[in-house]
Amino acid sequence: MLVLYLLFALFPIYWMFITGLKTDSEIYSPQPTVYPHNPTFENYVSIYEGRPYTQYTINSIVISVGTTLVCIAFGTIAAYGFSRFRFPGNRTLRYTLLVSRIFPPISLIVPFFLIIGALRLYDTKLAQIIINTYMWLPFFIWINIGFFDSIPRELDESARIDGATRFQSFFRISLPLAVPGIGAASIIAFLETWKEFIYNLVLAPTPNAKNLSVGASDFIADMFISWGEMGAGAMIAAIPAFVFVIFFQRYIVQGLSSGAVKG
Amino acid sequence: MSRRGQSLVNDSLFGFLIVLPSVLLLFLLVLFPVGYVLVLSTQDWTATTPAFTGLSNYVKLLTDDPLFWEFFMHSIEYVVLAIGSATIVGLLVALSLNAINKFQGTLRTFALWCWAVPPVIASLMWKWMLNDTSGVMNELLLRAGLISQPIAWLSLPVWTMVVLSQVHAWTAIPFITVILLAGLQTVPVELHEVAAIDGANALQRFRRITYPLLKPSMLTAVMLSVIFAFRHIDIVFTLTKGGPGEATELLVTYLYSNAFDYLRLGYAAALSVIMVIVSVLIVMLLINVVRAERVEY
Amino acid sequence: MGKRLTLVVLIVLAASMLAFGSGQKAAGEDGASAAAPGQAYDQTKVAWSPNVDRVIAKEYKLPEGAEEAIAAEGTEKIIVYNWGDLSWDPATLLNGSLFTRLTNVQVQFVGTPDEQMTPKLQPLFIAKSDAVDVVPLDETNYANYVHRGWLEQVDFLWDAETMAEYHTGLKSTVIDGHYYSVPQVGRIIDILYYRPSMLKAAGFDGPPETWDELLRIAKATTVDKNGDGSIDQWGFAFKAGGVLDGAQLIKAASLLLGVNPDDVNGKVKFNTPESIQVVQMFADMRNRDKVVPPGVTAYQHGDVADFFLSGNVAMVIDPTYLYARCVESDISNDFGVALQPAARPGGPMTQIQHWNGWGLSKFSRNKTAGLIFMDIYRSYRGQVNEFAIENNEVFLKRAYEDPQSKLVGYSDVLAKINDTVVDIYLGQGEVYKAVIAEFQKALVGQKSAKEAMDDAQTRIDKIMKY
Repeated sequence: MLVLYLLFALFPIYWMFITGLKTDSEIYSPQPTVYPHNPTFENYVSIYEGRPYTQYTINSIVISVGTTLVCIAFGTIAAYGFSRFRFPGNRTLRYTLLVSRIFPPISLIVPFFLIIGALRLYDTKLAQIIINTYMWLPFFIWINIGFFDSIPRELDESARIDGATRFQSFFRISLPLAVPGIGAASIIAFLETWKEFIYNLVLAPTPNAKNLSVGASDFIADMFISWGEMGAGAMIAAIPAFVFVIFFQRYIVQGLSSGAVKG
Repeated sequence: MSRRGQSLVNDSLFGFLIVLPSVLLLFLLVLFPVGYVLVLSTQDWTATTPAFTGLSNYVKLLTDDPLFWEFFMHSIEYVVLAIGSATIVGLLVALSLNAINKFQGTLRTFALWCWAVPPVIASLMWKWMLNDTSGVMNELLLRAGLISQPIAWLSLPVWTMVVLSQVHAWTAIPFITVILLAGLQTVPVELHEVAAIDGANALQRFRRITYPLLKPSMLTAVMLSVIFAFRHIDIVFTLTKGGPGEATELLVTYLYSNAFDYLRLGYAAALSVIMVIVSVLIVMLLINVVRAERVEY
Repeated sequence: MGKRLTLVVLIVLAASMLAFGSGQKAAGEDGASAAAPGQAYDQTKVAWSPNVDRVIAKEYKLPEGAEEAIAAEGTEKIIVYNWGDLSWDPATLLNGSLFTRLTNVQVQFVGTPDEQMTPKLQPLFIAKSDAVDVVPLDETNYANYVHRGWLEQVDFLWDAETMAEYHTGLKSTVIDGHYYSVPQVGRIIDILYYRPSMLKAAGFDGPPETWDELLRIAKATTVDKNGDGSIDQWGFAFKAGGVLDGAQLIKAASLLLGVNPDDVNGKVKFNTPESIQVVQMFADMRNRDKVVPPGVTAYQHGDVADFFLSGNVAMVIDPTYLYARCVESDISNDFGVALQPAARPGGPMTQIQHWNGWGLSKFSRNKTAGLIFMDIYRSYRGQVNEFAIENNEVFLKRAYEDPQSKLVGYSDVLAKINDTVVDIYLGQGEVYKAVIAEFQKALVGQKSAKEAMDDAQTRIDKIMKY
């Protein structure tokens, strides 16, 4: 069953990959071919010619890593606060955070443009980090509230009774157990920032801050799409993210071995 | 370590303080755009200079615009079909991944890969794969003998919406899987072992043990996916542009047209506010459904 | 206290709304009288007039005063947005470097796919930003931008004598008696491409010249080559999926019946008997005659071109840009180009010219430089470059007589075109969207052609406020 799903999930990626390796002749042949008959790297070469693809890659990495770090720094402790402590406005603030994200991004383009312009951050990576933090911090917090909720309070309380400060109890007890949640939320923040399109499109017109997601649409010419280059460009846009997934997927499960949940 | 007495900061204040940086950061970023959109929604942009018209955009949308209701229905269809199947598949995938012991890392990586692809590119790839004459989808199905005629996936008045929603599911499943997988880690293995010893089979164990503990994660995953799906524009925009004949036109593509094709910014702003209200209602509905279920357990 | 907090949030929200509401109002009112960006351009600093000499000169020369004006504005570079990525626009790049050579001002092109253009430009305009100088225009956005007051008026670049050098269709770019643009290209969007080998195999020596012939040939060339029950080669294909494509398809065919749906006694009317006949014909091709693939309702952008290049179809009608792609492809030895077939022998041969232009942002700080760029583009050298290098038809009539232009592979086909139309009006984008929506419903058989077009007209009446 998993196999079926994997086929479904991975086929388009496979298709992207082989399209990038096909010659134009083969792409435009009468019948689509399921594997490249004459694989060639000319597409990969040509997309770098005259195009700042390395710059796009660097931008994407900087923006995604930056956003994820900010989210972890701000969001973990905020989620802990929301989950563990009763204070007035707890519920209201939680929901307001969420509501702020419900606006369709396209309707907020103009006001964000005005803000970024006023801060003189047009066409910078910092602006992208700020915006992506705005986009994903609320969800980061929201997801982690759920995880902190599921960690029994008794653990905290017994640590406090043993004399730990609130911070210590957070760092030594709750945080390690929350790693699956933080891991999951970080993956989400990173990948979604990686894929971010519309805000990067509007606020980063030059290679100063343009990311791979927008850069891949360079292959849409006025009247047609250059499929071969698109395939190559798409793989390049996706590969660093793939690598990230390879390394970070284990953090989702890591928490299990901390063993504090045994009866 | 000696017992610390009452510190200066009581629990409640502490909680508030550690939450403050994030909240402040977000508020500062959020208030202006939201305020801006609200103001915009009270303006009429059809004349050369925008003019204040109060709530007339909202009234017009809800009472004088049959397209609004038609596209609203389409949006609901899209979301239900996409997230419905994505949740089921996501759950099954998460359970499978959790149960398998060998190659866990590799399999997890593969399952999550499709999520790393930027949406515009994914949409274009799907569009090409689903092309009726040169698309590989038809090619494979024909070769396998499953169909005898190529199917025009993106031109069927009724079924195209289903096709689009499943493309969306393709993008949403990894997201749901990740959240559920993380949630499954909090289900203690011992409970399963005890139940197995007591003679419960897999399905019973799922219903009694896994499902209730997984509910908060499921709620989060479904809620967020629904919000995303409701306002996701790339797939429909790239694949069918709302066709054939507006059969797949969504509220969000209508929003796009109003904002960027017709430059009716006030109308578009009102539409986005309505979309937010609908999303909030959906979220509240979901939360209440889960809460209601909890009573019985 | 939770309630109090909620109250605080609401108050702050309301305050921000008020602040921005008033800020907006102030911004909205002072359009032309604000400082620097948005200030009306003083064209007296440059000797624009007489325009015509400069426009027809074989080598472009800067008008007097231009260099000084550019220096006075402190311009070092201009930002020009372009339809689509520039690796496929060598003529644009060439014109850009010509401009730089003459003025020492750099050009920064920003290549943007069509659908992304307005989302990118709109925030810039609304914020009155100077981050763009020259913007690309076409029927979908020109009228809107002018209506909003975002483009600089350029009456001083035009006069009767100058206009006479261009195809008459260009007159449609005059809005309320004023000019806001210069032409970039005017592509003929409906040329017939065909595969001689496929036609010969079906017994035909040449391309169709009337609709009847088109249908006959399409039927004969729609074959199931390997006998597996599914059609491998289609006779014909068209685009009905995009925002312009479907509506322009109907308009192009209507024109061949003598009626322009965008201008029926000054009104937009898509349910004339001619338009209905056209819609019926296309629907029949798909549903009754089955000579086009069912997926045409989703074909947009380059889909039909890709289809032709992959060798799965005998004939298509597509813009002239496809010619260059064919020449570089595997079918370069087996394709032909002809005028699109007339409705009947000797019938009207009016063609649509799809207008692309350049406009100057009202908020630019480099107006003289931007205007020079636009001026070069619409003059002899700029226009010849577009046609000779990129094979894009242009509006400047003389450009076709240049020796370079004569080398273009299908110039003999173009020489037969006399009569072209260009239509631009406010609300055009919305009208076309309604037309396409209804057209697609007719194509998939949900409505009859008459029902569909009548419904479209109801919506058009509402949009155009008839």
